[in-house]
Amino acid sequence: MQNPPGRTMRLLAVAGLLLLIALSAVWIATIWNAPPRDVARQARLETRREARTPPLESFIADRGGVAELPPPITETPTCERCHGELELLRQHTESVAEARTLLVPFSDVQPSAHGHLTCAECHTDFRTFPHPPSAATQTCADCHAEEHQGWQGGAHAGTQGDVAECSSCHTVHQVESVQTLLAAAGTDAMNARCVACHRDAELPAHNPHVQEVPCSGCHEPHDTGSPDDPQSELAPQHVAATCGACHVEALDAWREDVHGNAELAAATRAHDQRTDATGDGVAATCIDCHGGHDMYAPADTGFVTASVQACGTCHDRAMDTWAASYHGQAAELGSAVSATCSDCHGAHRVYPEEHPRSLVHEANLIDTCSQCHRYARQQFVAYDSHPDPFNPDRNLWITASFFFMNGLLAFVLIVFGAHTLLWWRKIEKERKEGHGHGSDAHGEGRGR
Amino acid sequence: MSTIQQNAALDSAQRGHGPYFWRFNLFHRWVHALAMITFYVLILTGIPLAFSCAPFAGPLMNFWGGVENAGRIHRTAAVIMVAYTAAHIVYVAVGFFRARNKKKWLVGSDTLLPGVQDGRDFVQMWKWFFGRAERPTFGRYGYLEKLDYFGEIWGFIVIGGSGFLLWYPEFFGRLLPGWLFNVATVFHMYEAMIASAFLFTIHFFNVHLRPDKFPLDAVMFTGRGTKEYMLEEHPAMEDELSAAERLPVSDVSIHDRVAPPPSRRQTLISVVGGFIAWGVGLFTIGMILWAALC
Repeated sequence: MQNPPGRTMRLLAVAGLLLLIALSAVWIATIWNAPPRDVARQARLETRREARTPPLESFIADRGGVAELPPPITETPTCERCHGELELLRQHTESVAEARTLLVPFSDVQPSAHGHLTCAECHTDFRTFPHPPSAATQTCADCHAEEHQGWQGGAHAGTQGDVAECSSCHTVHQVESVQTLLAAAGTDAMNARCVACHRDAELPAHNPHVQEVPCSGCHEPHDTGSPDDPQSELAPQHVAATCGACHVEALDAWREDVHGNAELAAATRAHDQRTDATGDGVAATCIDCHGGHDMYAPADTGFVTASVQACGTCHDRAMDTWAASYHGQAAELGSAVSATCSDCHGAHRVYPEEHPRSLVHEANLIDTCSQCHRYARQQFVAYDSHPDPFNPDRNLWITASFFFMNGLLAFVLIVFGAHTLLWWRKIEKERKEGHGHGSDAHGEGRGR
Repeated sequence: MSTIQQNAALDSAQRGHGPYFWRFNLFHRWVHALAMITFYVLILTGIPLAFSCAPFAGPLMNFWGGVENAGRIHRTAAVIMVAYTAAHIVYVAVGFFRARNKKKWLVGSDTLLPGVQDGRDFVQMWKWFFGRAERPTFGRYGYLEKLDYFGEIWGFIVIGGSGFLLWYPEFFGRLLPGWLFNVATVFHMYEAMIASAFLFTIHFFNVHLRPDKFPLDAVMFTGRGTKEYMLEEHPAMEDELSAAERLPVSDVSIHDRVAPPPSRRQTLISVVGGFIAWGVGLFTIGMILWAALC
């Protein structure tokens, strides 16, 4: 039996405890308001943001658009006398509805892109009256030969019956030039015509191209092809050039790295099994990693999940091992600052680890890790970001510790699990046999 | 309290004939309470990270306010754990230096250090399970209490050490090879799982869930147990207790002195707190089992 501590001891104990509490509080305070160890993802992306040509100019240049239109004609054409008056037209038609289809007031045409043309330039066959049906025939091809030819070869001139012809997308008498339409009414106005038929194709709000780039910015409007068509501008062979029309820097970088440079891709694939990709040519195109309509802006948290999945499509083992590491676990739970694929491997400048330009080449590791871990040194970067306990060749210590600890866990659970279960069974048995242990009887017949 | 009421008490330490004897003093109870709280906080902030693929991981992380916040809370609890462990080490050291018979302190019947007798008791216990021997007569601390104690010490060293490494990797990275942090991660996570598994199955079973103690044993909260309880759990203490019984009742928690019964309020707090604690524990072990499938 112990004597209770005397007064001195008690005072010392209290003083010691207070000191301990004070020191703990200080230590906790140092970590509580400390900023996350690194520069946040947002800031990193800002520093890496690549220059883009403004979409409108490059888009117009790409589509051969006309920058300056000729001035509109000022003299009201004779046709206006009838075709500008609904009452007059009604006298020559079966119904009001039919009359309306023939109503083309000059005030509609003059401000349009065709405002510099007289009616006769397109409607050549008007000299007899009543005007023959051919008078209404459009002759777009006479001026827009290139587009017409393209359209004839594309999906909109298809043989399945759903033909979209010139007037399906371009309002003929009020046709606007691309820049006028974009400037005045934005991409929604241009996209409205596509979306009228392609209802599911409207871009989701998280797509950075929404409001910035119209459908025709990526999809060739006249010689439209589906992405399955190898000639299409979105086929794997051509999609980089399509995206690269605006994203010039990304394209230039990608053309040289392992995903875009066919020789480098083939050479890398030849001597390692890091990827499941088997295609010829380039290894991964823009859409493979960024997605198409469903793409996220890189600064968006949705981009992290989507891009990790994208990389993992080919690099599945790397994704699994990263997901098992602290970086992966934290990222999966929403950490905005944890390292994901492009943080360490780069985005458009990805090279195999042995290549001197690779961000994870041993000569570059300290700089790469230092993006977040200040004071990273040679020993620190020997950390394995893709620990694979099932690959002892990669690191024997990781494999050994993994199996040792699993074994210890199994041992504890089995031995002490059995201990617990057997004890439980024994108590139940004793109860049934009427022994004192655990029964409600108190103190009688203890039979020890 | 009448005898009948005592025997139906929720707290098994309050069942049976009195008087009460002190078993755990104020310091023991405070450290144990802090240990409970910090263990739960550490485990619950760590589990969503360890099982990030499990469906409950996201909601649990959001409960803590996100990954970074959970990390801060985790490290705060760790600091508190270091603090009470340091206090405990001082307490034990002082106890040793003040002990009149140091040999008895180390290897006598009241010691927490494991000895040959514990090995014999362990073997005898298994034999008893199969009806081949009598139940071992435990002293103040049976082998299960010693396993709890040293399991926690081993856990603190492994989990705390690896945790410390992982907390300041750039600093330790100046001296140690980087793959050691991978190894530290493995040790940290698995030792935590071993500790959790041990606590929530073995410790809980021995203390609360055993049919003869069910639903609760609050001796660690009230600090005292009835004579019948003490003799049933620790029969080798019979002589000490009989000697102490002749001394006057002590309000202060000195080992083995007769204690006044716990107040109604203390019993209420102990019982409610105890139920909450083991309820959270079972919930946690349920989550771990569920997550192990992912």
